[in-house]
Amino acid sequence: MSECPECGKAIERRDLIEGEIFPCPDCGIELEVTSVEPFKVDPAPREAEDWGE
Amino acid sequence: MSDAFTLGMFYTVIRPEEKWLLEAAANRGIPVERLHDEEITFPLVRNGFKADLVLNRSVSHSRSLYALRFFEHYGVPTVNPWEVVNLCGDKVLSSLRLAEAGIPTPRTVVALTPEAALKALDEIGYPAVLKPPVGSWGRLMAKVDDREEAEQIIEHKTALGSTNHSIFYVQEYIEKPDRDLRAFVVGDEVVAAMYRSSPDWRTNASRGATAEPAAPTFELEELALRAAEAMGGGVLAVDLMESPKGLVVHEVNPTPEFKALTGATGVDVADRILDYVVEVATR
Repeated sequence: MSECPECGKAIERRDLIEGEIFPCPDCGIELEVTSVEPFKVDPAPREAEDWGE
Repeated sequence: MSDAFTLGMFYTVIRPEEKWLLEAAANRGIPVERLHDEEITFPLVRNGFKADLVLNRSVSHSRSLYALRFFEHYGVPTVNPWEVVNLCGDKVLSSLRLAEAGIPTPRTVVALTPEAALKALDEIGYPAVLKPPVGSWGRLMAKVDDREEAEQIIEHKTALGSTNHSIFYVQEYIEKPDRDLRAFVVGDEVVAAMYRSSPDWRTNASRGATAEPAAPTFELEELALRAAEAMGGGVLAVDLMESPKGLVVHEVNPTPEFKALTGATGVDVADRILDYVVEVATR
């Protein structure tokens, strides 16, 4: 269990894997799984100008 | 390379696409070494990673370019190769290559200074589209309706100050339906195609465009495959518009997303990419 750094919502690991990005189910901010053991989430990296497809 | 190989996945973040690719590799028993673009370092002599082939899924064009060149230097094949990503990731180079291959593409004029950009816009005529040479997801693109607007937008771009906004890529505005087409090419096949519809003139899925499956017509397939081949081939998403004169290719994406495409068409795009990766690895 971790918590959203923005709103404090408890986040369960479920089937999330390291590096995965997902929206916080409460505030919607995009989060990134930065560690699985222990489970830890941080705000997802901010989009840079050269990001894309 | 033998059938048993370790796949390197060079990535920034794990989105559904990367998760599906990891699952597709696991289903085939292919070991995957994750190469995070925020952590990996590149000495001039290879060390520190095992991968026999690297699948590029980094969302950063500049990180991709340097990394892929290093992998090439180490003798590690990549999907896609550096040269393909270099061409596709730069709209100026892409337009030149498409034109050289005789592929219909919007009229394009490039200018290297703000003053010349105004001339380029006048040459193209209004409305026109102004895009940064490198960039995606429709970011910082502008539809320019008249000269007054052009002067203001160019002033703003100049104030941004970066090299990317100091080169002006000007294109004719294509009067098209509220949609464009994406054909997903893997090797020598269009594996799926979709319409992307939006009331916004930018029909990027990332801007909320809705996706619907498109039947790959002969014209669409033929043009998409020619465009992909012109860029060097591999795993490429070819974006096309339905102009009054027929289909035109406006972009070829070298590290394409396929969440919306998979959802719209039901095609397991990740699995098709893995088929291609295995083919490249066993060449």
